[in-house]
Amino acid sequence: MIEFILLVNRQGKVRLTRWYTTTSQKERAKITRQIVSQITHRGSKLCNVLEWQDKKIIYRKYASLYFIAGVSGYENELSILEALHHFVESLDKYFGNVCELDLIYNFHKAYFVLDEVFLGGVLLETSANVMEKKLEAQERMMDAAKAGLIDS
Amino acid sequence: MSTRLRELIRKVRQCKTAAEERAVVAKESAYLRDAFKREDAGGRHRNIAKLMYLHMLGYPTHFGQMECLKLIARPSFAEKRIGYLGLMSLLDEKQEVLMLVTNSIQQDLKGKNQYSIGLALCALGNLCSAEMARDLVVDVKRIMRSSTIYLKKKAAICAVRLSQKAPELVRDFMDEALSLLDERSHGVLLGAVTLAVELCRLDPTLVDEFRDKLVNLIKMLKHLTTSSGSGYGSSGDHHVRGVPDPFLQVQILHLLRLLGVGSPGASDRMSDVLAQVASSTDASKNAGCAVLYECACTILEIQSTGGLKVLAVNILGKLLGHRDNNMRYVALDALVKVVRIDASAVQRHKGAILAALADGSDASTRSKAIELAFELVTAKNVEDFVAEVFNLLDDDDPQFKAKLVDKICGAVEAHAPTPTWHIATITKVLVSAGRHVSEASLRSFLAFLTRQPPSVQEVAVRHLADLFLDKSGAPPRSPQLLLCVLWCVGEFGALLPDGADQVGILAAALEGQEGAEIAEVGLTALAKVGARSGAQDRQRARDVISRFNSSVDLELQARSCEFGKLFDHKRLMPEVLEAIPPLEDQQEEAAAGVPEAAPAVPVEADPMGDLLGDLGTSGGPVAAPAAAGDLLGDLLGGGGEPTATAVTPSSNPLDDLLNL
Repeated sequence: MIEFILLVNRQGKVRLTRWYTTTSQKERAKITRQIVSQITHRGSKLCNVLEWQDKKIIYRKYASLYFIAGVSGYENELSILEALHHFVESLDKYFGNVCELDLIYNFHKAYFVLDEVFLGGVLLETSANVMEKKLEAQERMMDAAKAGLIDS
Repeated sequence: MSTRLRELIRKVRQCKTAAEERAVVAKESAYLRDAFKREDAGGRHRNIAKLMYLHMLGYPTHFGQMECLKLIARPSFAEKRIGYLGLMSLLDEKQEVLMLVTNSIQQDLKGKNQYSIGLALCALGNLCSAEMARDLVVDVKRIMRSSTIYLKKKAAICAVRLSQKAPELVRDFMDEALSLLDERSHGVLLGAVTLAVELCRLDPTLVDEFRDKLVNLIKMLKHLTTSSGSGYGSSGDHHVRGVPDPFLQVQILHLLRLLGVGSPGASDRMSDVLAQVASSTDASKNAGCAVLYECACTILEIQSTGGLKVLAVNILGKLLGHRDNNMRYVALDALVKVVRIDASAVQRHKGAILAALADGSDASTRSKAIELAFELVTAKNVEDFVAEVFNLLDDDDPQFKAKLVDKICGAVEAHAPTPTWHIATITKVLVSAGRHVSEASLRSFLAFLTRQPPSVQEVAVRHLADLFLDKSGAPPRSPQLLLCVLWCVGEFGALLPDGADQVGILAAALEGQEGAEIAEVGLTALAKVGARSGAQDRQRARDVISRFNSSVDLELQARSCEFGKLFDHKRLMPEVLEAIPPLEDQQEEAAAGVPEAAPAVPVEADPMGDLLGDLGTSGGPVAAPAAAGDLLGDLLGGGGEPTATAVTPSSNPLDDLLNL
């Protein structure tokens, strides 16, 4: 399963993290630091899988951002890569040409997208269209709730 | 005064130094603490969002956890959503707060609104602990049977997590898991198949029950590969660059693997569809390759026919030849498993494997390639093979070099056709990459030499001595090579041609050597050479040894003094310093296994002790084979190791000798 998903930029600034296992705050920071320092040094043509301790680190770079999944146990590496790509496409569709600034100022929305794509480290929805509809519906509910129109 | 989230982010981003950032964050944290204390209900969801931002920057945020709980309990969806989000980021399951969450989650799971239920399921899936799993299993099962697709798929994946956390629940989910496999929506099916895989993994006895669904699964996979996915949810929506729902295909193939292992009947029934997937999937893109890779793994693990297995290995071969490194990586990874079962099938892809090995740019593929490549070595091809990988020893990466040297030494030892080739190859390795030869490899090489007839030993010692006599191309003198030369001249120097200046070679090799380990071996070698030489060479050897009389290294000083004394007992010397007897492999390994950490005991204590013990009892065999085994360990191990013989009473006369 996917143990964690990280989104960091080239300078190592964390833009989004989700941990699906019990890990202390300190441990998370340590792991993040170690992984980022390894990945940012790798050339673009290299293989996107890195064996690290007892895990596999599977990552992909989009512009200045690295999308990273830490995987343990048996997983199809190529499928995980595809899932990461699917997540990026979902972000792109939701924000409309997503860029790093979108993710900085609207990080909570990026999390909403993430939680529709992955649940508990498992891929949840593979259709971008289905997801868009569900996110929109929730957005409307948020707005309505903020306006005090409906409760629940 | 309250600032908006956006403003906070902007402020932090404007900070030019870390100190400035800390100041901004400290101020905001103080404000947030105060707001939480004031029970500022109106700004609560904004405050939690800010707290999440600080959390992402790595600042402490534990004080906000209870606030998340309060938000979750609110009826408004906006507050609930932020509350759950904060909870998932700020908490981990160790914290006690989690116990309090269970109740809120249960309330929401029982709610009416699908999105509130969805949020609760999401939080449960991400934060679940064993206790939560037991408390909420009934609710999750109920939602798995609901009519809403959106909730069914979330509940299925929640069930995956619940059963991981509390494996005793596995059976509870069986009915729902089986019925979800009859669904038509891709989203639900993906969850259902993932759940089935997980349940089978956690409890292999459940495989039989899932085998009843084999026909469905095969039909599903067939649909996915042949049609555009019609009949299973909306078509096209789940395509990834022309491949129909690769994620679902991969999961089904994984489940088929679990169902096929150990069942010839099931394996037979799925072989058609596997062949179909293997032949009809497009291998140009990552998505297609993911399916093909999974398919090959399934074919190789189930009880499939020979023809199908060949097909699978060919798929892996195709991935191996892909220009994308990721495909090459997974292919190598899978072939490592295949090679142990059927090396000949992999043998055909040797060229591609060696190419991956030679490609130094990527450590991931390379580490797989080196593992795989050396599995292909046999007695027949070892000479060509080693010749091919030899030029890789020039590589810059020290880690890779050490691994390669280790693998070469292992392959040579296991498959060398002749002892001469064995010696020539290892010497070559010692010359070109001596620094990377491990202690174990060196030990086993020297042990190998002791087992050879004198004619072979002669070849070895000549070969090594030549390296030092030949001044023209002075080879880089790695400690390992020096060690080997010193030891061989010491043991087999007598086999060198008559004119050879053994003491000269040893002295040259010892020249400028600071390392105690090498000098220790060198001293013993000199003593051995001295013991069997004429008066002149003996004096020269003694002179070189005496240089260490004032060494700062205690061990070296003791050794050189002891040998110096020994030189006074001409009659005894040849007996004490006899050539080493042949060493068995295991014996040598046992010697290597002796822990290093031990008080320093003069290494030569055993033979000396034996000598003086013999002196008392007049005659008798000198240096028992067991002690000789220790001797080699000591020679190479450097630091003195206490051995059984070292503590025998016979070492007391030694002390007397030295106190003379």
